[in-house]
This record gives sequence, structure tokens and C-alpha cells, in this order.
Amino acid sequence: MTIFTDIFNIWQQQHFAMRTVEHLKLFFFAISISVVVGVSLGFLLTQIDSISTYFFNILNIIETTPTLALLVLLIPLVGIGTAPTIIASVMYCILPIARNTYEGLVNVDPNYISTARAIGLSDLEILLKVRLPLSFPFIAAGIRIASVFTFGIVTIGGLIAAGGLGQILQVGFYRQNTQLVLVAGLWIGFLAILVDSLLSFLQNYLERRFAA
Amino acid sequence: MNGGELLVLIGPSGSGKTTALRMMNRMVKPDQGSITIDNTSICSYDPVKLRRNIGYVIQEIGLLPHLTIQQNIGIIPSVSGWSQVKIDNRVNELLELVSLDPEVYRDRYPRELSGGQKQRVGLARALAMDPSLMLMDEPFGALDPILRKQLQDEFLDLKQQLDKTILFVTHDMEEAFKVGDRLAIMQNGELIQVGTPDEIIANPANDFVASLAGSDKKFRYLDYLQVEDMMQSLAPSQIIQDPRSGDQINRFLEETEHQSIVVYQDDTYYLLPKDQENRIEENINQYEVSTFGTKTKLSNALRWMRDHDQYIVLILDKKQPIGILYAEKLLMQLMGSS
Repeated sequence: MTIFTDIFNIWQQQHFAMRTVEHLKLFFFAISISVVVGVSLGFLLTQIDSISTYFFNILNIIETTPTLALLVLLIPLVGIGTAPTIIASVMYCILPIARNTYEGLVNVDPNYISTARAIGLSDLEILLKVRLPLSFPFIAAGIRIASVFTFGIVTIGGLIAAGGLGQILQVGFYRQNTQLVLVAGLWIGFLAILVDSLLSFLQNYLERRFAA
Repeated sequence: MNGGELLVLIGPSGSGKTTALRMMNRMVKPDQGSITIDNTSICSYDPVKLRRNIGYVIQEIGLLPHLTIQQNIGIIPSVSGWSQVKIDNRVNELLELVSLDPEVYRDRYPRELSGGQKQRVGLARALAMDPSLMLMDEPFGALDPILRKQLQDEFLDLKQQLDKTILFVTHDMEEAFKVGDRLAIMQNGELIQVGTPDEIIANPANDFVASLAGSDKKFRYLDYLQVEDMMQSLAPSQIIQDPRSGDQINRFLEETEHQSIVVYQDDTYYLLPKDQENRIEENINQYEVSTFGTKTKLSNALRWMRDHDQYIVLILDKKQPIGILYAEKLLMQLMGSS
């Protein structure tokens, strides 16, 4: 029974409940901004297709930068705390979301678009009623990848005072408290799997609902 | 094209049938020339508005997979600003028209439907805005032969009820003869011949048309041709109604420049040949002639004539005699120019 008492004590002392809420808030805030920016960007790139290749190359370079390095680079610009964490996760997430949005919109079966046009839908109506819904499974897959990134970056953000569960990890490292690091690490891992499962469920639903 | 007719565009693949059809709703821009509907060039219409007022049915993937049957049929009414109640009523009406139970099919997705059912829904969608012009691009092309025949029959019934002008693309000659009022034959992007089925069969413009129409196998088409396709037309001046006496018939016979005259008396039709030496007395009965409606299938008419030892029948359109069918001339025509 001592192991449960130990975990309970750690949970209480380190304010796990509060930190978890903080962590999830940061996560949802960051992923929401990423979705809005990523989907818009993906759509814009379908409209100006000539630059899309260059643009994705630039995003790929950002993607290869290590997270910690990116955070450190952002500190002189925006200080420490939540701001660099959110900016870094959005920068990482733009690529998967924008790329999947772009691919989804571009790869809609041309027969559907042609039929929609022939029966008298305008370009805007085709985008909203045909191309976008038929791209939902792709976009969802992009968001799912992005959410895994975001969860990781938000955790690392704890190291630069963004709060959340990463903060507890840092305390554990600092005090060389293996027990604390282990409990926090497992809890973060569990939450990450939970979020991913929820999104996988959503993605499967969208695939069933909107697939041809 | 004439209003209310079904014109079939037929030719081998790559002959430009679909391109011609797609020019009608401005999906393809013509290099030259113009297309007018009711004397207005289609280029003066907004393409979106134009397309909403032209029904469009195609062979493959006509239906949007993420929308229910109701949403698919109602998509154009919906973007045209109809109220939801009006759309619901229209969808139910259309589903019943194409023999699908609205209660069962309204909320299904296209993937839950069979090929034939999808095609019916496609037709219902094309009819949603009640367009006077419809474009149909091989609508039955993807169906198996039995189902195709069944849908063609249903479509023909529907066509009678609807009174639409229809441009119908197919590469199946039997289908063309079955559904078409007139046929337009295309080859290598050129229009070779336009005419009614019997004109095409009897007088093919060139060898290509002859082989396509199977003019050498004309007897195949007895099932598709109707008696009106092969009858000899009657002039109104050949018909005399309720003559008062045999003398009046005789005078009419002498004066007419036609080969024969039709007498209508006491609900019975008589066909009298001109070179009749014997004058008509009381025995007009021997000239009594049987009648068929214009839409009777040629094969049925011929079978009946054989069984009843008749060589000549009169063709009526709404009780009005409009033509004569001579078995002998018909056979000559069918064998004719091959």
C-alpha cells in the first residue's frame, strides 16, 4: 500500500490536479491556434499553388529544428513562459496541418468537383460543400499528428516557466527525485495517449462519414 | 434541337459526344460558333444560373458521398434559397417519381445504394429545379444489361409524363433507338447525320452510319421502331368523314388525286383504293380496315397483321387517321438499301 500512499503524497505536494488543468489549457490553446493558422495556410496555398512547394520547404526546415533549440531561440525575442511555448508549438504544427489540408483539398476526386460545377454550384459553394467536407479525414489526420507535437512541446515548455506538468518534471530533475520524475512522466504519457486516442476516434469517424 | 424532343448523340468514343453535351452548360467553351436556347445565346447567362436550370445526369459518381440522398437531391434548391419545408416536399415527390420510397431512402448515404438506385437518385437530382432542358451523359452506361433495360423502360415512361427537352449521349445503338426521338450521329468531332431512327436505318448518310446503325440488320430494330416511324403519311384531303351516301364516296374517289382514300363512318374506318372499277355500293364493309395507335411497336403490329391476315392497317393519332402501314412496303423498306 505504501506505493499508492507515496503517489498520493507526491500528487498532493506538487499540485498535480492544478498542473494538469494548466497543461491541458495550454495544450488546447496552442492546438486551436495551430488549427486555425494551419488550415487557413493550407487553403491559401491551394489558391497560390505556384509557391506551395517553396513554402512547404521552409516549413520542413522549421520542422527539423530541435524543439529545445527553437525554444531557446525564441526566448530573446519573446521572453520565457507561455508565449515562446505557444509560438514554438504553432510553428511545429503548421506543417502537418497545412500540408494535410493542402493535400486533402487538392486531391478531392475531380469527378465530384466537375459534377458539382455541372449541376450549378459556384466555386465558393464547391469549396464549402464539397472540397472541404471531403478533406476532413485528411485534415483530422494532420491535426492528430500536430496534437502529439503540441503535447510534447507544452511539456518541454515547463522547463522555461510555461507551467503545466513539465514544471513538475523540472522540479524532479532539479532535486534528483526519481519517484517524482517517474510519476510525472507516466502521467504525462498517459494523458498524451488519451488525447491521441480521442483524436484517433474522431479521425476514424470522419473517415467513415466523409470517405467516398 | 426541337422543344420537347429527346435527341440522342451517338458515336464511337472520342467522337466528341460528351464535349458537345458539356458545351451546352458551358462546362466546355466552344472554339467557335454559338449555342442558343430560346434564341438567347448561352454565353449571356451566368454559368452558375444556367447550369442550375439545366438538369444534368452522368454515368459515374454523380452523387456526393458525404451527403444523404435528401441532401444530394436538395443541394441546388438549398443553395438557391428554398425553405427547408419546400425542399423536403420536393425531395419526397422526386423520390416517389423515380420509384424509391422516401421513408426508406431519404436519409441513406450514396454508398448504401445499389448502382440502379444511385442512378435513380441522380435523375431525381437533375429534376430538382424542374428544368425544361436536361443533359444526360450515358446515364445507364455503368449498369448491367438487365437493369439497364429496366431503367430505360422506366425512363421512357417518365419521359412521357415530364415533357422535357433532352440531349442524351450514348454509344449504345440499341439504347439510342429505344429512347431517342431523333438521332445525331457523330464521328471524329463532326456531325454526320441527324434524323429519326427509321431515316437513319433506311437512308444512312455513309458507310460509317450504315455499320453503326446496322442497316444490314434492320430487323433487329422491329422492337424499337414504332408504327409511326414506318407508315406512309395520309393527307387530310384523303379523308372523308361520315359521307351521306355511296355516291358521295364515289365522287370523292373520282376527284381525289391520291392513291386511296379513308372513309370514317359509324365509328369504323374504311380504306378504299383509287383504281377501283366497281363503284362503292352497300358492300363498303369489305374495305374495313383495322387501326393501331402511333406508338405501337412495329414488331407487335406485324405479328398482329400476320395472325389476322391483314396487309394494310390504318394508323391513328388521337382518333385521327394520320398514316397507313403497308406490310409489303414495310418489308421492302426494311430490306431496302442494304
